[in-house]
Amino acid sequence: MTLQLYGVVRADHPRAPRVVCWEDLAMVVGEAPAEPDPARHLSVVSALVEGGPVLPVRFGTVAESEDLVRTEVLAPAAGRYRADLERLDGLAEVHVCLRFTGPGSAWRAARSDVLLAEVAERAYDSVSLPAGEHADERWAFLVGMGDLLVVRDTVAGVGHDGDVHADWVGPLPAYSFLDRRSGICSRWGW
Amino acid sequence: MTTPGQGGGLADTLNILLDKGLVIDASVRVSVIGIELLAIEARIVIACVDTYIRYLEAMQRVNAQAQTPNPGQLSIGIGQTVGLIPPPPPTQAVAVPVERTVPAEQP
Repeated sequence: MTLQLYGVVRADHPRAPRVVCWEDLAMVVGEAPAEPDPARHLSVVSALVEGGPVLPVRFGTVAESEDLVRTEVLAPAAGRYRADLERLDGLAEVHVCLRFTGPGSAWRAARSDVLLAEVAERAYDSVSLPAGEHADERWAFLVGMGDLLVVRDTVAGVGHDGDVHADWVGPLPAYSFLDRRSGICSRWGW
Repeated sequence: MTTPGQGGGLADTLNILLDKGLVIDASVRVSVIGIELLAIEARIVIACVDTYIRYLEAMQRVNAQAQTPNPGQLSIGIGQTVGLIPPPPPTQAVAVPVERTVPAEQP
């Protein structure tokens, strides 16, 4: 049976519905759907975040057996997975989207710096994302799970500013920070 | 997941994140039932909805092969672990039931 791969977690993860374990690591798996469902994929991996760190596997990755998950996926990169799980423990990704009513990209960028400074101060890392159809600025922040409500309220406060609409999506697995192990430097100066 | 806004933030997030995540053995050529089906030779760079379209096409090809048993040939390479995505096919996909939500402005 073809298995859909969702993400790497620790073997004792409390929220994982079905896992293939290898030593202290586990791959969250499910039966591959008849038709790919990216929204469900994101929902599954996001639901894992509150139970512990998760390294999301790229959408669409499947394996033919549990043994292959152990021997071809978990075992070869176990050291890297353990290090990344440790690095991302207690953290989650949050996307903040800003839509401005004022003109000018330079003005928008400067304005977002000010608006998001409070969120950035609480974040461990940040990265600019493609704005998408529904925003003028979009940022991913890596924040502590304990700061999620503060970040939410901060973004809600930004949205009351009149010349900007603010939105957020989270908590998400740290998709945007999987490969950022060193040399972190953001627009906010670290 | 918390999505307070109604501005389509989740849809854009989905598009952005589809291209991310762990790539399993992206440098390994993958064969299924002895026939080289998906060749993933370099870092996979794909754009949002195109990811989904190519995924559909790849899965359709995999399923078609799976329905044609060929027990005389063994899988090679990484086994049956398939990390998407194959190179874009020469023909254009026209029957995929998704809306194109590629951002209007790209940096």
